[in-house]
Amino acid sequence: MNGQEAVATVQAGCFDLVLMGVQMPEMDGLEATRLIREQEMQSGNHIPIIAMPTHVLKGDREKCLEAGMDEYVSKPIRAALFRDTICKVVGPKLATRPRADKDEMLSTGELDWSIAMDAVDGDSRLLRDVIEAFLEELPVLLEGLQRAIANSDMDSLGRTAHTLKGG
Amino acid sequence: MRTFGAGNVVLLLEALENLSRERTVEEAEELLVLLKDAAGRVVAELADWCRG
Repeated sequence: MNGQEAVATVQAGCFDLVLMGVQMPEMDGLEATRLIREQEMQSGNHIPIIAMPTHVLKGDREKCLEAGMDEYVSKPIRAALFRDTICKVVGPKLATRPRADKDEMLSTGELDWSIAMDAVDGDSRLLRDVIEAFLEELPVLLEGLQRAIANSDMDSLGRTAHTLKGG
Repeated sequence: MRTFGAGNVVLLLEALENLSRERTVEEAEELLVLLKDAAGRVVAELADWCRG
């Protein structure tokens, strides 16, 4: 994804968090963040953005924060720090987010059931079939991720992660 | 995962996809630990719904 695509994706969707690359083709993460923040000045929203640079350069962190990013995670990524950083920028917002309507009240735990029901046009029987198929497939895909990492097969890792994500 | 609105898991998977381009095995291993944890919660929630 390049910076222009990132800006368009944020515009088109509803996200709790953006993990923004810094070095990206066509438009870098700094410029993309500035554009997102400019758009937010009109909407009044603020989506948390965490910088995830490919290469760490001196002064990067300051540049990212100046561009409007909320946090900066340098590599190698440490699981605990990564989790803490996400909680820091997303946690308070999610904890205080108002339950605006019935659909949003369907969102509990890890899942957003309003999205799931939309995906099957409200057909709960079909959703059950989809879930059962998914629950059968998930262990195979997780094992595929594990195997890809063990074999240092990063192409396979990317493909399997993409499949599990759902496109 | 997108189908079920599993936003946290989707974020982790996107991070894994990005890591794959940069060939950083150690980071992928750490993300996989987080992913398995989150996926476990997804499975529990889906299974609850199917039972309920």
